[in-house]
Amino acid sequence: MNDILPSWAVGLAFVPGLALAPLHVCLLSLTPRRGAKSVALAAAVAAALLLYVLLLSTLAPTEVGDVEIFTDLMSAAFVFGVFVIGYVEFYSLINRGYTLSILTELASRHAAPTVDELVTGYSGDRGLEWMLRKRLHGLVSLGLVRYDNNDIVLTQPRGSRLASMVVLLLDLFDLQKSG
Amino acid sequence: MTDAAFSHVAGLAAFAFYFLLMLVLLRLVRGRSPVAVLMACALLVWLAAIAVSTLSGLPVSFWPFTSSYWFGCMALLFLYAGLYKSVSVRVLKDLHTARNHRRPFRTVFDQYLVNESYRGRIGILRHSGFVDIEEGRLRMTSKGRIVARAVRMIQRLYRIDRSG
Repeated sequence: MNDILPSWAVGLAFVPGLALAPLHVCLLSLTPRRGAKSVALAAAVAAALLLYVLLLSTLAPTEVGDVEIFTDLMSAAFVFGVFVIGYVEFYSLINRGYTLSILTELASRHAAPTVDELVTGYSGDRGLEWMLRKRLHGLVSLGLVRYDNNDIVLTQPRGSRLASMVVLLLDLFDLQKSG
Repeated sequence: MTDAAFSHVAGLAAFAFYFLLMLVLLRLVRGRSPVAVLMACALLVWLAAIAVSTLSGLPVSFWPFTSSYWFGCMALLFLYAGLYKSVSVRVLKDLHTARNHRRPFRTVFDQYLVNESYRGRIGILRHSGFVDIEEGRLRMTSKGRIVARAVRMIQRLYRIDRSG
């Protein structure tokens, strides 16, 4: 195995990767609307990329201009990509984690609830039904399902096609008991 | 092909091997956290690939190889985590198998969300030692309280009032 020390292009990719969380927190504190969370996350990734370009153009020596620049930048993009994927996963766990939400709900209560009491008391007394409706709202806005009176229906062909792909992936990963 | 380009290809080949191994492991290893198994497997395949390339004298550069391999692994784990325990994915799957691709809201709520998903997660919390059930009531353990406090601190940092 050669070249354990990273090149400038690869080494500098760690800076925006590590800066993602502080950039995102700063942008969230500047965002007045609560609903703009995903915009703030996308803006944080864009700001981190800009930071990388600035660092590379000011700090990197002439080595960057050599013939291996393409593969070097590809390595840097992959390193940054690893940070982005890891960070998005972490943020969605904190933001939408169902199990963690049950845990924080329990911690916020003075009296210990029963398992059934928590069904209606979940997420600040909004209840589990609110959570299911929230997830369904996401699927409806993507055009994957629709409401028909009191039924939930898969849309044709969009919802049906995506659901087929999901079932294939669940079979591939042996996740018959997902959710 | 340059050494760096060859190393990227080697990284992708190692990732392809990991992917196939993962498919086998997911079917063989039961009763353990699949995400933990997949992460441990990714680390072992990476270390083994480094050892093989070092011993065989192949012109593999560390960073192009490592970045390609881990990018593939993280993307795959991201996909897996998105499918594993996702409420939306489960609803899509249930509707796909239901007659006429339709189910009453109440059935999805009672059968799946409350009876399977919610009670399953309470089981995970108990199994992890975060909560106990005493006289039918859910009581947090000290371990659960520490985790919940840490999660709330992070959520406050991100201005998240209520998650889920």
